[in-house]
Amino acid sequence: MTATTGRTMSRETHPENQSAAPPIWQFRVEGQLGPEWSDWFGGLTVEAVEGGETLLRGPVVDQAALHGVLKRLRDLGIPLISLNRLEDYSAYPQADREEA
Amino acid sequence: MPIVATKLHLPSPRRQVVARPHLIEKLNAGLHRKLTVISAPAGFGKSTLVSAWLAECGRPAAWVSLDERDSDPSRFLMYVIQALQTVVPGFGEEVLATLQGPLPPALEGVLTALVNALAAIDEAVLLVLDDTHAIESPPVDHALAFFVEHLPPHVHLVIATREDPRLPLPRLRARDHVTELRAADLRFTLDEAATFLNQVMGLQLAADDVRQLETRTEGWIAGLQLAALSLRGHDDAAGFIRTFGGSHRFVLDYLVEEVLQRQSERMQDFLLRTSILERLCGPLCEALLEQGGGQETLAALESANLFIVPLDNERRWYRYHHLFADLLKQRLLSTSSSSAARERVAADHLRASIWYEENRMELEAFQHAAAAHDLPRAARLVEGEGMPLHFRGAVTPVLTWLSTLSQADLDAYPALWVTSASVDLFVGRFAGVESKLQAAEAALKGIDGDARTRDLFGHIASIRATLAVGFQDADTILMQSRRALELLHPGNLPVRTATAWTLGHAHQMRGDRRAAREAYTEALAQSEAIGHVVITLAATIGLGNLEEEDQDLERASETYRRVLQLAGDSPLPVVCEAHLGLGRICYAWNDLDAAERHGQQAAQLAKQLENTGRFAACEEFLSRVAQARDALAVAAEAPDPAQRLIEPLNARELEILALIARGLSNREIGEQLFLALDTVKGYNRSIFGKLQVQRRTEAVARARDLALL
Repeated sequence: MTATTGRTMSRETHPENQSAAPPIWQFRVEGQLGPEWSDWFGGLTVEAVEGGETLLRGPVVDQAALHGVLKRLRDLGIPLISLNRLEDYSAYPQADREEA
Repeated sequence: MPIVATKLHLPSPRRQVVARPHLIEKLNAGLHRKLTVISAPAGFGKSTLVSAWLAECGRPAAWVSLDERDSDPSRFLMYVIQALQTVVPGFGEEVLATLQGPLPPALEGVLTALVNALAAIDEAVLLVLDDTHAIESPPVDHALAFFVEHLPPHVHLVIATREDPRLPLPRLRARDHVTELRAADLRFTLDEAATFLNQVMGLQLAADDVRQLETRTEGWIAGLQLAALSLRGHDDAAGFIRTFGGSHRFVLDYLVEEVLQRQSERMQDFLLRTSILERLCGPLCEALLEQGGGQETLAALESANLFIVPLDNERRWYRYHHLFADLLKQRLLSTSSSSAARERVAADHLRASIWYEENRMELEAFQHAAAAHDLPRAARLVEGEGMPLHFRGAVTPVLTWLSTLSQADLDAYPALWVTSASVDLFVGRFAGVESKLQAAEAALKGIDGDARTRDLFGHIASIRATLAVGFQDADTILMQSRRALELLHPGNLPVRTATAWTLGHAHQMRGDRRAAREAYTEALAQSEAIGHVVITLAATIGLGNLEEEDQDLERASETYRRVLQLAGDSPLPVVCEAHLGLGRICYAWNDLDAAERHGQQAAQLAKQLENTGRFAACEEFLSRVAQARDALAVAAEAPDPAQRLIEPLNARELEILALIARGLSNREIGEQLFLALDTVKGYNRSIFGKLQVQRRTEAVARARDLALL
């Protein structure tokens, strides 16, 4: 298990850490979707980009929520191109964290 | 758990579909294999293809449309059996009876029985599991894998799914056990797209237009169907296709908007608002929309090919194609961001909830009340007609709903704190129960002591009594049970019967057998009246224990047998208890074979329960049986047959005699063998009688003479 995964697990499973900001995920999908899809994908921002693709981006509280988004994509038949975790919140210096 | 017949309805092949001979051929060629897996995203025509195939393959087929709620293994297996009964009358009746019992059965036994029943079918049949992706449950995955592994050759399983099933597919492929159709196989070819658009959907498109649509949708059938619906009545087909082809928008998003815009305002309203319904029928739609003509509109949607699927032959119940329903719901959500619009959707949910309640579908009524955010209504419905929903196979939806509520919601409706504690207790999450009860009490502070509040306080006390059973704390159980019975509403039988049982348990722990019997008898009468089987079993076991302590072994044995009969093969702690009780009785009767048999059955169950404490007790009992066997073998070889006893000592008596010889007091013997003091004394009298002696020392001496020690 990598150090990163270990950190994620402990943050997600310890109730006292639930107030910590959840990690930011980015889904790149095929086809352009409008911002009106945001609510359908749990409040992620929906941004159509060049090349006929769309980025869904935002905080995803835990693995269950992440799989929830994947399931919604699957159920609509929206092809997934890539999935990335953008920022590891705990990697930020303390000062940035306070601002965030 | 009502069976929804619509889930077993084999979709009748549409009157007009694109014939797909190459796929049908592939499916037919796979019939000699165990399994067909059709795995592709939504809208690739999986169900349509399978129903067309079934219509011409000449084999009887059983069909189950699965949904999220079938993640409960009992429910899943029940549907599978009922589906098979549509083609093999009377199939698996006994297994079904076990599953329909109010208690969870042992899965392994049920699966084996089911596979045996399948092997006994004397014709070739197909079993189709549609929407298998809806299942999210390791036990059901396990059941499925078990089926595939043990499927008799004349039964062929078809799995239609949006995601690959959790089966060892590479191994099945390597052994040539599986036929697979995937998205690449299912998408419409150019020829099929032309047939579909121009013949099935009645358009007159030029070859070039067809090619453009086919390219843009990549042969995705749902996309082509939506495109065709948008094109109907369009003056400038070629213009539309050009615009669509040049757009980067997600295919379905683009098209569903086009389709909706072609509908009348009334029809748009109908589609969007009824999309919140999992299943639709005329009267339900009319209640939701507060206008007539529901059934006619549904029929019109069907003939317009508007993604609606009939669920029975009478065309009474329908559902939207899942993909279409999702698209409609997304639109409803994105257009209802204003609070007025949100309130309108909530009002629709509320009317649906009322309709379901009036038509006695309590779970659906509850779910729509929850979606309407009508807390008091949902809180009332969750309590159910006489029995809370979470005791009736609906734990998951109740838990999910509770988890969406805020602390303030629960504070506003303290009954929900109590429900939440009761659900936690039911699913074995003991840690948070007490704090929820305290939150309920805090929220109830200052509220007038009306009958409803008193009843809630009674329920709180009853839950505390049940928690104390786990800690073997007789004083607390007694105090809380009494408080509960004093406060509970006389009509609140589900909680009253549970409390009568905890009361009996406390009395029994304290050795007050008369009071314990009274409480258990009451628990039994109440639980039988309302069909609360768990309490019926627990109270019966309690009565059996008391009879055993009274040395009324005949009756205790009958009582334990009644428990076994009632519980079937449910892997419940009470069943383990009943076997152990029967084991002890057989042991006392010197029937060591039977004692060992019951001991082993108890140990088997204890293992399934993963309750190490129970398992240790079973092991201890079995070793006592083994020791008794040795002792009897020695006694049988007593030196002088003339000196043999008229009535030999039984195994239990020999055991107690050995302890007397070791100098243990009656109390110590009772503690070691888990017997009441009176019971030990009873055994002593019987030992002395058989040995014809008056006191302990004489008994030991006589036993040594007889080589019993």
